[in-house]
Amino acid sequence: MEYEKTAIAILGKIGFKIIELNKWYCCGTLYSLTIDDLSKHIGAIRVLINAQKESVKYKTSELLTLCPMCFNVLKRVNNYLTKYPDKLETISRYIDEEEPYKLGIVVKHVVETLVENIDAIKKSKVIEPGGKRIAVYYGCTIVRPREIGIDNPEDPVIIEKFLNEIGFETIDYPYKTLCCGSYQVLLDKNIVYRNSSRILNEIVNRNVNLLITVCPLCLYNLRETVDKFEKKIEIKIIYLTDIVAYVMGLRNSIDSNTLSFLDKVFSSNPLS
Amino acid sequence: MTTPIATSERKSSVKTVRIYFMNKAYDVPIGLTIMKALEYAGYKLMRGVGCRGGFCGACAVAYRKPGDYKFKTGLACQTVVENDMYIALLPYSPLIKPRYNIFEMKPEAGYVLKIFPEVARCISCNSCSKACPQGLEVMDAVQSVLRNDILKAADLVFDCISCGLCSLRCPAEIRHIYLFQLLRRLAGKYLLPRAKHLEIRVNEIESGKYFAEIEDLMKKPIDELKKLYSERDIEPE
Repeated sequence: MEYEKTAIAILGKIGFKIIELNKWYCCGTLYSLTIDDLSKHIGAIRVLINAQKESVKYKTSELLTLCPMCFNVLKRVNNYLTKYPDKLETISRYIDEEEPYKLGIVVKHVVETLVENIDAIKKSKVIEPGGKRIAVYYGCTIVRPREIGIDNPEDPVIIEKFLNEIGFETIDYPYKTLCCGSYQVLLDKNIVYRNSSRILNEIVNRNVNLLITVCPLCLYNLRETVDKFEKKIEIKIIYLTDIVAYVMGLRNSIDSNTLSFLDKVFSSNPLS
Repeated sequence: MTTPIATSERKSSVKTVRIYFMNKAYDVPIGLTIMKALEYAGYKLMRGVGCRGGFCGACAVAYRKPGDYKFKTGLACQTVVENDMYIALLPYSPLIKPRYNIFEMKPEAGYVLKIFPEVARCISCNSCSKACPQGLEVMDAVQSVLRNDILKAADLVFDCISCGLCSLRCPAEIRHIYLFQLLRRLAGKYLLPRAKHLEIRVNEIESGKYFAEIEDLMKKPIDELKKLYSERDIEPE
């Protein structure tokens, strides 16, 4: 909720009108790699079809996603159908109660939209970050695989560059694309604790105590892991959009906990 | 359907169609519902038959028609027989009924998924909606649960008649009937506005407001009761 609120507030402030699809379905969360079972793609295709229907009404073909997993699945399915028209035909015949998908939808992640509109965001800034230090954690699914990634899958810098432009200082550390443990949190939390603690350690060791992410599951896993350290560590994990909304003065959109934390940070010491 | 009518063995002027039930052919008069056609053919339906008006959900049926590859579903009391129709009655779908305490729940997806984890397996194939004789947006209801919109989901399945056809078609093995019952209960208990007039009436009854009137009625002779009944106030529609 906090992610959605701040993202919509930022985009609204710089002139976008964000329309939630009238109907949407679970994308499947993970892109199915099974080559002979198209049924696993149906959820994502229905989302694309609904976006297509509404694209006529609202005259836009851009489908904005916040969740990196949704972004990953929708974009990969979109690419797959573009690459294999026969598969699109097969699936269109199955979904015969819907209009066929005509491949016109562009799946975008909110990071892309923010980066494209950096000038407008800079103009609406009301708070100067003054070089406060932040660590950025990308996770997996907005940068991998390469075909759909929004930046270099090995060493993405798109978010750091964006934050630097706004006035933050970002740190470099080796684990910004290491998997946090993802959905293993449901099966074996220790996998998550192991991976996420490696990530968090690297950041804390660099004397940074603010970490931003763009994925609700990464955020959840990292926050869960913070409490598992034997020696208490000081680190706050929030969404990229939280901090951008904050410097744009969009206080009402920010979760109260995050807001009071950011107020403290900006009124006293820098983040280091 | 314009297919020529099958030759009837019965010497009758009534036009008939040939249907197949339990792998046996029957010639039945044109225009009958599946339910009436089976009764015409000699079957005595003891179960899987209820209101005969398309509203109780007891008589789910599956069938195929020549020239159409689709597997079709409906209600036996509402579907009219066609020539060369293959029919199976599906009056019951085996679904394990969960037990839960609604007082210990909240109208949130997490509570629903705890009882019906299979809901998360929905792949949006829409087989459920295609099977629904009520024409409900069954898949949208299931997906609304995943979106944590319990009120929307409950609203979409308000007219569910629990025939079970959706569950028989579902590749995710969702127990729709019981899931939807829970959604309506959660919506009724936690989300929809309370019916104030109902609470007032229940309180009136419990406090004994109508006891004397009932006692009085119980003592009246049958003729007077009949007269009172026919002269009673009827609310305008």
